[in-house]
Amino acid sequence: MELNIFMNYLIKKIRSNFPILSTIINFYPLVYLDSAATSQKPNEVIYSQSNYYLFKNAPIHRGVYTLSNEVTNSVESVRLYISKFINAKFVSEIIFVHGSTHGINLVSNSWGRYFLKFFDNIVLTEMEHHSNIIPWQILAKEKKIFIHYIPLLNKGFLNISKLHFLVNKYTKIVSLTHLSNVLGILNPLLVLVSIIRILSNSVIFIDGAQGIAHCFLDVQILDIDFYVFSSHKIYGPLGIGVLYVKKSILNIMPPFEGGGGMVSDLNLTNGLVSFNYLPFRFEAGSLNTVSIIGLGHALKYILNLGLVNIYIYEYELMRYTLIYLNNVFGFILYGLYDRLGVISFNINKYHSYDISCVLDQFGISIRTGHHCAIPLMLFFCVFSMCRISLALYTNINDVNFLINILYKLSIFIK
Amino acid sequence: MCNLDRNLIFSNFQKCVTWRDKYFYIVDLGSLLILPINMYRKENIITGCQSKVWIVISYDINKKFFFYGYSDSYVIKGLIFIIFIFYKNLSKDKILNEDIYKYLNSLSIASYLTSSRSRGIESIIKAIYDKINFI
Repeated sequence: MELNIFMNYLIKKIRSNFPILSTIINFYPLVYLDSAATSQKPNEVIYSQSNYYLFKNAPIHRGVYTLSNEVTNSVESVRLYISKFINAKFVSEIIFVHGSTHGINLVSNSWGRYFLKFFDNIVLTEMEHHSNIIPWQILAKEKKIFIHYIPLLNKGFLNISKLHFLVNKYTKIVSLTHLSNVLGILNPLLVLVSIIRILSNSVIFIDGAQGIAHCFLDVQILDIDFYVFSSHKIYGPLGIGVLYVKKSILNIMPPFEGGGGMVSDLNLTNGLVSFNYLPFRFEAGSLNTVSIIGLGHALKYILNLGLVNIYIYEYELMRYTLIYLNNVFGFILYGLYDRLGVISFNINKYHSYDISCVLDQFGISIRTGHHCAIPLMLFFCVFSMCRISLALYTNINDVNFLINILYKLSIFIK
Repeated sequence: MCNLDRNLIFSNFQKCVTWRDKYFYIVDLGSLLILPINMYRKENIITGCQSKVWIVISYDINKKFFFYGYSDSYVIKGLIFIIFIFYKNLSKDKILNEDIYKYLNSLSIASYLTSSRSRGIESIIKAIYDKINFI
């Protein structure tokens, strides 16, 4: 099957930018198909980490000497870069958090605890990752309020027709994923947001942990109130994430974590405290400056490649992979054919661990288990699934090799 | 099947040259595992393993133990069968004191035991230990 996009996409050059892809596993070249769990990093990002500690390390926002000023400027310029990447209206709408999970917990503890009252409700979906369910469950238990879950249609697509039953004037927050980490389903945010805005005055939280790496994002056009993503899923370093909060919401949110760097005045006698400007009042303690700078390099790298080029390549590779995977005997696909990023599947009676055990012997790394989405597993009446993810550095050879091994495995059905 | 014992399994594993031989031998051993149909009950499920595992241990008047089990993973089934063969015909005291990990390591199947699966095997062994201890 000829796919022209492969000719134009500089896959060899791109793979040479990712040194880990030349590793050998069990005498086979590494075939890394778990980018949805954590992505690999290009040279630029890796060098920026040691470069920082070699030449740049200094505290930010606090020193008045050159080194401190320079690193402060670097971090704030990454903040600005991110705000432009997602088209936020104000740079102060970008808060650095430790990751998506931390961002969700920040909102549930800060906004949620302050604004939710008895008789309010929260709306989530059945396809959510645990990190977008459990913080809300903890809050709901504390406040004694209900959580409604938007159900799924039989392929795993959100049942939007149920929205008007679940979202009402007492709904204060609707939180859903941009892109499912299991099904690869892209939720139609424009449609969902407009319906939710008609039905309620709730705020809208979007979990973009997977979505950030595979789709365009414009938070103003989408008109959402919160968006969170992790650096390590978009080719950046671990330990840092971004929480976007619309200014009007940010202005009325109380701080979540207390500590250094987030107050401008503190009086022990009368207990008065003045919190720092936005967004610093939400960034207590020392920021993970080295990872922030690394994230800046990662975003620069993908913008240089061109988002359109990356997304079209991933789309074509996905199409190719699905067509040939479908020929594997006993292949069971979960979700729709129209998908981004991930393919979750099982093969007939094999347990997903048996499959990953064999694949690992050939250097192929896939993810198996419940993918932190147990409600979704229950929906499909399975306990675990295999999952492969396609990223900007995934080669067609990777896919061909995987399909080859899966095909051989499938004919040894017991 | 009745004359399979731990020494025979050990020597068969020595004869396995490639990982593929070991893998299919483990899967083959797993197919010998049996569980009566009325034993697929909630109380027989072992937690801690990420595939579903059922273990049932019964005994006769002479306190001779009979092991039954099942898993939805072929590899885990095989490993459970190997564990059962290790404990075959042993008395309660011997089972509680024998070092099964030494035996499993001697079979050189470490590559099948990723850290999450090792924890699963540990919970299976611990569950058998607890069941035997209770008897």
